[in-house]
Amino acid sequence: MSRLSRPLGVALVYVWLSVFVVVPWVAILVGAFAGGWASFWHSVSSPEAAFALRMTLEITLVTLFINLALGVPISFWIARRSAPGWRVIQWIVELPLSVSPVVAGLALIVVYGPNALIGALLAHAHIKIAFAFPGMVLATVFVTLPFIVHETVPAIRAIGDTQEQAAYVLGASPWRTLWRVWLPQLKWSLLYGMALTAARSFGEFGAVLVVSGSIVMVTETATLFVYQASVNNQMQAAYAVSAVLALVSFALILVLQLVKRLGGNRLRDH
Amino acid sequence: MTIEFVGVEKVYPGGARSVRGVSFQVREGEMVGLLGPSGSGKTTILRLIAGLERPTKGEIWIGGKRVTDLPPQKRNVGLVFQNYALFQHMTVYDNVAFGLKEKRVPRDEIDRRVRELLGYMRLTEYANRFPRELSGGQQQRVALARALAPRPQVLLFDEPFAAIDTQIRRELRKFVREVHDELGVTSLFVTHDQEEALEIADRVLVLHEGRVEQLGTPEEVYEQPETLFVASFIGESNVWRRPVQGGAVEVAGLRLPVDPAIPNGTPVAVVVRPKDVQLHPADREEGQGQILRSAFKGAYSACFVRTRDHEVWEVHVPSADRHLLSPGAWVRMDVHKFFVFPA
Ligand SMILES: Nc1ncnc2c1ncn2[C@@H]1O[C@H](COP(=O)(O)OP(=O)(O)OP(=O)(O)O)[C@@H](O)[C@H]1O
Ligand SMILES: [Mg+2]
Repeated sequence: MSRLSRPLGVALVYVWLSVFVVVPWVAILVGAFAGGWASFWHSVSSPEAAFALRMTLEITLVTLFINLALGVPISFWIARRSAPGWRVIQWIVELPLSVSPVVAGLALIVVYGPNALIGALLAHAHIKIAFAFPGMVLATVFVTLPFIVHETVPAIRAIGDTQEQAAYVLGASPWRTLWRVWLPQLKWSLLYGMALTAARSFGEFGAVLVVSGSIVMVTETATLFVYQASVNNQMQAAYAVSAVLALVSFALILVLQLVKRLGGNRLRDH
Repeated sequence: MTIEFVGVEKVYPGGARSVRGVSFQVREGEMVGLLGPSGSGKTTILRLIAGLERPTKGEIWIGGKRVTDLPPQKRNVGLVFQNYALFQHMTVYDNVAFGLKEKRVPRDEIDRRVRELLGYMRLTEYANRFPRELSGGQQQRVALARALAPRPQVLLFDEPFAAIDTQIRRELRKFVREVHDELGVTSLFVTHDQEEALEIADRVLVLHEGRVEQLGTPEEVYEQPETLFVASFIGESNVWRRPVQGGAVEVAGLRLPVDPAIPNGTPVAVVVRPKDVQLHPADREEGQGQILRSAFKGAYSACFVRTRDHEVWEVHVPSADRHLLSPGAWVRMDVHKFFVFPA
């Protein structure tokens, strides 16, 4: 029984992988490059596609920055269980893992939309959040915040707090201690979390769709562009931008594996 | 640097009262050993001196300066943690240089100081290793070098030798004492090992449930214990609880005189050190007890004697006289010295 089921199971996994993973990927790449390199380049560099790709890149970079700035303190907050309200913070960070991104995006509209109180107030100050770049970043940050926190909290707990205390007694301020003692030891966890964050923000669709309104050349990201193009039956453009997204994801997976390999040994030592 | 505690209390969030109204003074250049059972507040007292904990009540003075509210960065104290707390991502060299860099000491001076300390600690060849590549004893010396580098005037050790085997432990113990004398610092060290504390400390601070039981020289806490706890905690002891009868307490058929002012029937505890009892061979009729067994301890042997009321005493006899006391033999006991405490 088990002698048979083992190879059978392995075969099944491979079939499943090829049908649902490899074939679609290859199909996208074939679709993108069917007309040759020139037509691929033409599709990707059309003003709409180029704008969408750049917007996605910008959102990802800003999101990474915000997630680092927010994620590190939040991770300490949760890992230490010291500050009051750490449970609430943990709950908020976990929320995106169970709440649909579409709902999250809608929630942002409800609060920051032009018809809502805060949105109206901000509009008065000529600050636009919903249907604009800030709202799209907010939505992406909300969706991706768990990644860095999830990677960093266990690392902080494993390192403990005696090294920090040793640094204080040796005269290091809390900031210097963060810089010289914590960050070097959290480096691999942070990198891993950042790679996951980047992958997710590149691919985010639902939350951004609701918040942005998907206005061509204004608030259209790469994923939104792919969707629009395929709905409008511009398959060449859809395939081309999809291929770019797919290749970036692939590169990020490689980075993740590399970080795991390089950092794994260090991480295990603690 | 002198260290002074004035009515210091520490209540941890959650309600654990680990230090309760502690006052004591450590003199300039002194080495004080903190002794006490687990949970008696030894670590907490070191952390209070280092500034890693704030007292709930009371004041702490270092070198005539009130430091109660000073952060650890400003106290110029060296602390060797029980688990060393070395920076895992830094080499031995960088660990030792850490405090000097924080003090913005010029680079070439840092280099000179670090190399000097590594040489002193016999660590020169390990300068480029990471902590995880060192033995426990080596990590311990790195921790010590790191604490010494910024030239602190107060040195604190939390169970510095706990994870080290006896041979190296003895060497390190002597070494730490030498370092202390050479640098003229004031040191406090926590230990579970009484022998260690009595051997290298100038004075011993005995703690029990967050209170100071006694602060005195090793001789004082051993020969003149001030409380029942100190008498029974420091060194070996036989403790017997009895009511006072006519100005004396009866143990093992002996009447030990106590303060005549103590009224009849008052329960007291009598403490007798094993070395303060002398055994004489006796016959069955006049003997007060019977030898159970004896254990060879080098210069002396520990004899266990069962009295007629079935109490077992520990008595130390010179190993040379051991042959007189075979198991089963009857003995008479002379008590040279004993302590009486309210029970
Ligand atoms: N961070 C803390 N939070 C709450 N209670 C604590 C904390 N640290 C210590 N305690 C409590 O304070 C008391 C004294 O602890 P402390 O660590 O000072 O004892 P110790 O004498 O060093 O013991 P050991 O010999 O086991 O190291 C203990 O009852 C302990 O449970
Ligand atoms: Mg302790």
